[in-house]
Amino acid sequence: MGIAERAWIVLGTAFRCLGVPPAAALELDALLQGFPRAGAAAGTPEIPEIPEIVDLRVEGSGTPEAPFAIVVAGPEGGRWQVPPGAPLSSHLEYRVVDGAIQRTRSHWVLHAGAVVAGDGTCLVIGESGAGKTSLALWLSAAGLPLVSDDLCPIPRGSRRPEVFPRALHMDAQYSPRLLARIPPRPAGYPADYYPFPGAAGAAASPPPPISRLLVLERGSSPQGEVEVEELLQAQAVHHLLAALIKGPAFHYATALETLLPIGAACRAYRLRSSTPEGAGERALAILAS
Amino acid sequence: MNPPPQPRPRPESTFSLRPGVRLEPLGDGSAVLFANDLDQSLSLNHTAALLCSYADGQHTLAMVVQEMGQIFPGSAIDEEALAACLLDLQARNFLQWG
Repeated sequence: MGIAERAWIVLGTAFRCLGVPPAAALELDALLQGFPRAGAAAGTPEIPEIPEIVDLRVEGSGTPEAPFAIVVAGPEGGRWQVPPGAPLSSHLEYRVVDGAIQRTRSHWVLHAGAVVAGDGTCLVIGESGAGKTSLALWLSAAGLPLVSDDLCPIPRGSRRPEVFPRALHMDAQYSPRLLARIPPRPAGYPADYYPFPGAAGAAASPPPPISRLLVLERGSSPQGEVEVEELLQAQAVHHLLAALIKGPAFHYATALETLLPIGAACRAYRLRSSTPEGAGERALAILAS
Repeated sequence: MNPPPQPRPRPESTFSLRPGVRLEPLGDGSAVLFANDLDQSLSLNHTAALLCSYADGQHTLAMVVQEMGQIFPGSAIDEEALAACLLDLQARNFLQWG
């Protein structure tokens, strides 16, 4: 298998997946379809310079006796067992994305959704389960171009994020009102995932500078009341720091060089809602103001 | 177990940020205080940010109360609250006395 056949470039590193069974390969192609392919894939321009190529090799046959394992080469690699019955494609996709985050020295990566709103980018951060994906999809369905769902890379020293076209992980119960607003999942698309929107729904690259921050919290009001609180810039920086994935390249002072100007330039709000509809409608009102 | 209560600083005591701690003021008057060696940061509201701007080893608490009184004429400056804030920063290893 050549590099042009199954290799993707994520945050500047090329990941080549070897020994992937055909069924999992099709799913992997779907999950990573938003990222550029390394080499001269059919119909796409060749990307001439790839600083590093990391090989992921699948071992085993997926049987109880010989379950799949993913072996990642290199000093930051390792061997990860795939639980019997678990989808190999999603484990491979996770290893690619995680490997890219661990290796990058050019970007900070935040646990954040992001959309373009007006002439700025709005970040959506919050604890796991707070509803980031729901809100990002709600805003996207309202016509705001999607920058990222749950991982948002920002080049160091920049206020402009990068589009991160990772497939959306949708493994929870989602509001019927939300699902009615978005196109149906394509037939045959891997379960628990939803494709990152194509050119019509994705932000142009590069997106505009970050100008808003929404800190999402799950509320408990049975009436669905939404609480909104404007935050100090220092609180915005604090939330940005908390959302930063602290990989091997993390250094506090260096990270702040990027995050302080972002916090100083954006208006930040804490948004507490017990329903995705409430969060979505209020977020749209904030972004329109 | 809670740490033992810290003695209240004397009014003539000066205070400063511990070496390695940086104060980053922001445009809205708030500030971020961070200690690189601790991998920790604090977000400070306007009052705490202003208080930390005096943490230069020259100012005493009494001088800060006087200067804040000039900045906010007509407002009562709560010396106890300022002392409590400084003690909290000391307990978090962001500030030192003397």
